[in-house]
Amino acid sequence: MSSQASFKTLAINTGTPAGVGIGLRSLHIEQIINHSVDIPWLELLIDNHLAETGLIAEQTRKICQRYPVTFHGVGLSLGSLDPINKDYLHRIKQLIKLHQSAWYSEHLCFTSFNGVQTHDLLPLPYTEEALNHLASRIDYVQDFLGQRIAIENVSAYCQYTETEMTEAEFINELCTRSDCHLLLDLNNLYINHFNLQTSITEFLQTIPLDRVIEIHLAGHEDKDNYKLDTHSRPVTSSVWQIFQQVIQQIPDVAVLIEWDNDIPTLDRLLQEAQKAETMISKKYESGYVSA
Amino acid sequence: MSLHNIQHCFIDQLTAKTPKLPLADLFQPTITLSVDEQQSVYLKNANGVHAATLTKIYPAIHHTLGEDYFQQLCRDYRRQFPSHDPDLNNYGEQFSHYLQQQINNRSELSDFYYLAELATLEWHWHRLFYCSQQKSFDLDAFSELDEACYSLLQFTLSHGLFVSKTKLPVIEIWQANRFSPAETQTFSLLDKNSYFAISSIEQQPQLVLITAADYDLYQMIKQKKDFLNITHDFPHPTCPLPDFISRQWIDGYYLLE
Repeated sequence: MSSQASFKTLAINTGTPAGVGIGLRSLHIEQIINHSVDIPWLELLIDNHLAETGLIAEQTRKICQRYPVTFHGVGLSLGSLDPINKDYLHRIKQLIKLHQSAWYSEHLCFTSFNGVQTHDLLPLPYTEEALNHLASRIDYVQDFLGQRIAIENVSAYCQYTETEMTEAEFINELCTRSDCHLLLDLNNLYINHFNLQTSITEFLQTIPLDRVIEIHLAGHEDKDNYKLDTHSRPVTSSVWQIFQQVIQQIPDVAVLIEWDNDIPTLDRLLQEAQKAETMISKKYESGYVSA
Repeated sequence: MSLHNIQHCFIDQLTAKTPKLPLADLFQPTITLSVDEQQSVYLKNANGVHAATLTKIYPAIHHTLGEDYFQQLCRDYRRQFPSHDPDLNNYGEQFSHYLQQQINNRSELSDFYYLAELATLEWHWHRLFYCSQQKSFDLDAFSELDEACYSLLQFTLSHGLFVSKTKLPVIEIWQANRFSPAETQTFSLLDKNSYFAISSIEQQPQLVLITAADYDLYQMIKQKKDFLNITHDFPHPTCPLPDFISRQWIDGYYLLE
């Protein structure tokens, strides 16, 4: 089918997030539910909220009643050659409808093969075959959900022998074919630049920035000879620099702080979000952004 | 190399004890990472995410065994019981069974014979967060049933309810270790069975000590004994059926056709 025709007129659900949100993790759920936290929106890792009833489902309901939310998934294995898990996708669709998630995002990766789940976001080779496969899968998912999804660039630590294009060229062509949105993870972009010597400039010049609806910011760890995407630290200065550059090119984009390991207090997380807010405000004050 | 072979080779490298496909066909070295280092990063990541899940589900086992030994078991468990569910919260169900195997086979674990039972307790505690909500028992409709129906009536237990008996001090060990490693403590074997239930009460997970009568009623309902059987054959002076209903451990009933 042609997704382009089907989704052209479809708006994202109402309550589109704006400003800097945080990725909600279980450590902060009670605080988020029981106190009125000043945060414009939350991203829920939907794989932790799949329960239909019970304690988790009740928590999810309370969160979504109080805050605008988006859903972010890690379990769909979009790039895998395994069949799409329709039960899983059906549950995602139910949750999007039930909680009015502004959008649903997944990763440009595969996580499983022959039914074995790695629960890790493994990069795809940037080949025509992978492109065809991924585009058809995104078509299927968007048809099933009745809305566009956002695809996130992933961090990588390997260089396939089989490569026919750059990551950015792959993403650009993918967007053309499947008419999806993009979730631009600047930490992943920086990690790939360091680990695989990809060009940040080429990446930002090649991908369709007008399709970016969300930016992820996170911290990483310095290993001996590579950077590891741990989401366990504050955002690094290198990533903040890329962020300052990108927000001049994509104004009004939703921004999210991700922190998944060695999770700090909610106040510390909100400080990190405030830092991003301040950068966005300064950009406007200094008149960087043209209409 | 086709997409199929690439994915096959990559997963094989991360899951097989002895991968069959050559790594050099898959990856090429970068300026910073050799082919082996690239594979090693992904192997560490995959082991890490699975181990983190088991650490979250089984904190008392983790604290009892210590970080290094627990991590070693996690890696071995992942090889023996790979995940087949995209929902990581469903991973780790066979860990109790796996631990029993290790207790039988590893001499250094011979003093830790309680670990499998402790793991069962922790698994059911974890699952409480993901099980369906209890339905309300319709007491009015139940009280209007004709006695002639009793031989056809079977109760349903609420999802997530787990009842067990043990002579091992697993509850004490769990309570001492679930939040942090316990100081050296001595736990004595019990001279008679202790009975306990794990369930959620008003949306809060709870572990409560119960009686032998509670345990036997649970078993009879689980074995699908009908109401008449239960009332006639119950091996204790008083049947705690009203308690089960008020605690929402029984959430309904049905009549056999």
